[in-house]
Amino acid sequence: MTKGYLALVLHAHLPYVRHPEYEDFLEEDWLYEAITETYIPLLNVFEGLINDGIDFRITMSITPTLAAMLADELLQNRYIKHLDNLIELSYKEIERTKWDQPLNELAHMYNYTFIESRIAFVERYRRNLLNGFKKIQDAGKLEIITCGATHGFLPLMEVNRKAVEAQIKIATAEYEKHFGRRPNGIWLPECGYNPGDDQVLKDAGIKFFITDTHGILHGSPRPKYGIFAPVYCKSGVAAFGRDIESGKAVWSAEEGYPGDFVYRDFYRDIGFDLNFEYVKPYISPDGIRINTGIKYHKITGNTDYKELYNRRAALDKAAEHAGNFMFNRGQQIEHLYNFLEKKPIIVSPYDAELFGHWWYEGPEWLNFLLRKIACDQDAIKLTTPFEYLKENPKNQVSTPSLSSWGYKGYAEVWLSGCNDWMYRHLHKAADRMVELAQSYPTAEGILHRALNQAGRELLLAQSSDWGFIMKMGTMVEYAVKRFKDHIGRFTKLYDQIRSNSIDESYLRDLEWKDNLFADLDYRVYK
Amino acid sequence: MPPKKKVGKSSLKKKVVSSKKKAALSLKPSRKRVTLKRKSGKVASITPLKEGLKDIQEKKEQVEEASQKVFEPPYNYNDNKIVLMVRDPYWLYTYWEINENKIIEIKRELGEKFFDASLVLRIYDTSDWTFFDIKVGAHVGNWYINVGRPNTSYCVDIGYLTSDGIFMCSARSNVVTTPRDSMSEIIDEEWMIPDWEMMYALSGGFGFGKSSMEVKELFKKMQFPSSWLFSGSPVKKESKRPFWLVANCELIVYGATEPTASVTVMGEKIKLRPDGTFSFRFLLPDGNYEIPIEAIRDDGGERRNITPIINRKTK
Repeated sequence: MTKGYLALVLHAHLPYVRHPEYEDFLEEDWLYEAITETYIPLLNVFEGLINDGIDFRITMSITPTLAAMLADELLQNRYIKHLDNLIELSYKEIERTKWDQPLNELAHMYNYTFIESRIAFVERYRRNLLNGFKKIQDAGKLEIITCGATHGFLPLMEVNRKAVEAQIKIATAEYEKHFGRRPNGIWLPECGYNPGDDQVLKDAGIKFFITDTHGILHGSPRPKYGIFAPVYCKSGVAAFGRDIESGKAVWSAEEGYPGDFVYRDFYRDIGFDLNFEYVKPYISPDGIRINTGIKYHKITGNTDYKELYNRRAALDKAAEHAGNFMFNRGQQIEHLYNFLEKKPIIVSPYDAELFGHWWYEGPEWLNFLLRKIACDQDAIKLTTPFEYLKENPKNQVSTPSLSSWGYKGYAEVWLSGCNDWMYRHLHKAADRMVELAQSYPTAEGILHRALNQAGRELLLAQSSDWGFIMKMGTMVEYAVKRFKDHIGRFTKLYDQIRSNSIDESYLRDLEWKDNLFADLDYRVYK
Repeated sequence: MPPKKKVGKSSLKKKVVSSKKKAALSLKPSRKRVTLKRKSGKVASITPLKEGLKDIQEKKEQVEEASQKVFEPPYNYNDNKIVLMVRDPYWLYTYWEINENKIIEIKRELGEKFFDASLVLRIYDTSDWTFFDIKVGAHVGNWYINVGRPNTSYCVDIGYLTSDGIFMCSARSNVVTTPRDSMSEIIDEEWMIPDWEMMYALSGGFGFGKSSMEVKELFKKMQFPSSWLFSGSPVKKESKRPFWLVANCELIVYGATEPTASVTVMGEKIKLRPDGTFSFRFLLPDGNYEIPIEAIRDDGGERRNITPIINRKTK
């Protein structure tokens, strides 16, 4: 008998990184790695479940910037080039490791995985992975939700409500373009909710969003069921709270599954380990060693000595961890069911890129978990927030509290000594964008193009990723440059528009570089 | 990246030319710079007259360099405004700009008193308009304010406070509300339960019998990584690496024969390079290895065999 619901939510996001002005650009690898290690493996899991007739439900946010990159022809072609390079390296590895049987098996594993990725990417999904995700959604198993257009952190954008509206409106329009219908839900960037933002969601036709635990828990009036039932905001949009217990099982550095010693170690990569001349064609062309994705060791322990990875043992562990996760959710649900006298819903969101990229066995863990839930028990019912609302339409009205899922739970990650200087410029640019949209309500031709491009530059500057990187302290230079580039481009366009002197070739250059959201209409800022 | 000095307009051009190296450095994250397929509009606008080819080339480079230069946002926009933002239940952040005209206006108003007046932030609790002041320096443009009170609405003025207590406001901010850091005091009767503490503890997921206060403390300590691919990973490497050493052996086998010959290494046919050379690289674990290499002339008429024997041991 069903005693409660489990909604797994994967948040897939990458900032828009695409540099046609360079032949080769290091930061584009983020996308290529995520495709090989996370997105294709997840699609394989979903397809496998469907082929085996196993029912499941899962929710995934695919952010508009990620969707735009997955649908971009230049990046698609570059991915294939990247993958071909990797396949070549994996063949060399098979050859090189001939005399070391266990290592040789791993080399074969990577070779096989990469070749399969190529077939999936080119043939099955015709170079656009969105086709794959759409198919799973259309089959009724996956609920794809949207996110802020460029993952802008909304609570710190609040002083200009039109900027918030634009992030949401553009996101839903992009979603419709890619997936052929309107989104039911949204993953607020960084889970950042500010009371009142729900009205903007409502206006865009969005029916639910997810907040961090304390967003719901500190909502007003007090939420009777805590985070184990959604609440309706005054606007009528539903808010679901993140469950901490199931979060810790996967996220936590100490107690989480991904830290298990038999799992693959992320840091020992042949890009760093092998002879320089040998790996040279597969690392950065200027000779900087980087991760290739071929890694032969397991975490082993808190030691520098790393033993060889054993795939079978790792998969056994992933199955064991899936069983453990299911057992604990069963216990949790049983307990909550008795206490609340109602079927609870447990919402468990994770970064999608955690699965496969960081936690190499993550997709297999998910595979085991979804199969076990379908076959081995009947207390937990998998659901999506939207499906839950259809079955349970009566919920308490309460206004969630301002919150995020960043460190300490509020805005500090994106507002501290290293990145607070951005907001003066972000707010000014947003004000100017609104001013432009109101000054030129019916622009045509080159003016229309310049206004649209100004919108794109503003949106790109608003990505929460730049501030996040500055806070984390790695790759800061790139984030600072990106932020300044977009603010600079916006400012230049603004000045040109205002002085009636639009430089067509400059504009064309920007349209070529920052080409996302082709259908954007600047009037969204009016 | 350290903030760059402001460069006057007249020196800008010079700066661009001379900082070629710096500009290249600032592009470090990228791999390889290729010639831009499209050039900025400025390139087209250069119409060299009677200039040597070399000069044109140089000019072109300068302009390209300029289009590559990182834009430095201005220190401020000469606006007269102040913006207030929420960092968490206890802290606010504000930034402001005071327009020159506004300063002149205030100077006129205050007369002599202006010169010993201090620039202050006046923070109001908007429920009763009680306030407190923070003195700030004239060259500061932003400030973190410790209000220490969750679920309270604030706004802030930036202005001049004279020694005899006259406050001249230059700009007033938006109103913001700090979030709660605990359960709401408001309870909807229709949605009552007997044990709120239990609900709170359960939602916190920290077992039972914990008070909301304890859970609150735990919330503060939680370090959930944020949402990004390279975000604080749960399998983060120890920052301090102890002394370490890794050593492995690889063996390179190489050779050459007639380009048309067929060659096998350990019984497997291999592909020769067009010039008849070949090479292999093997990982060499401890053990004894024989590597029979055989070349056969294309007509099958002649054979050559070489078999290197290797013994690797590790102490």
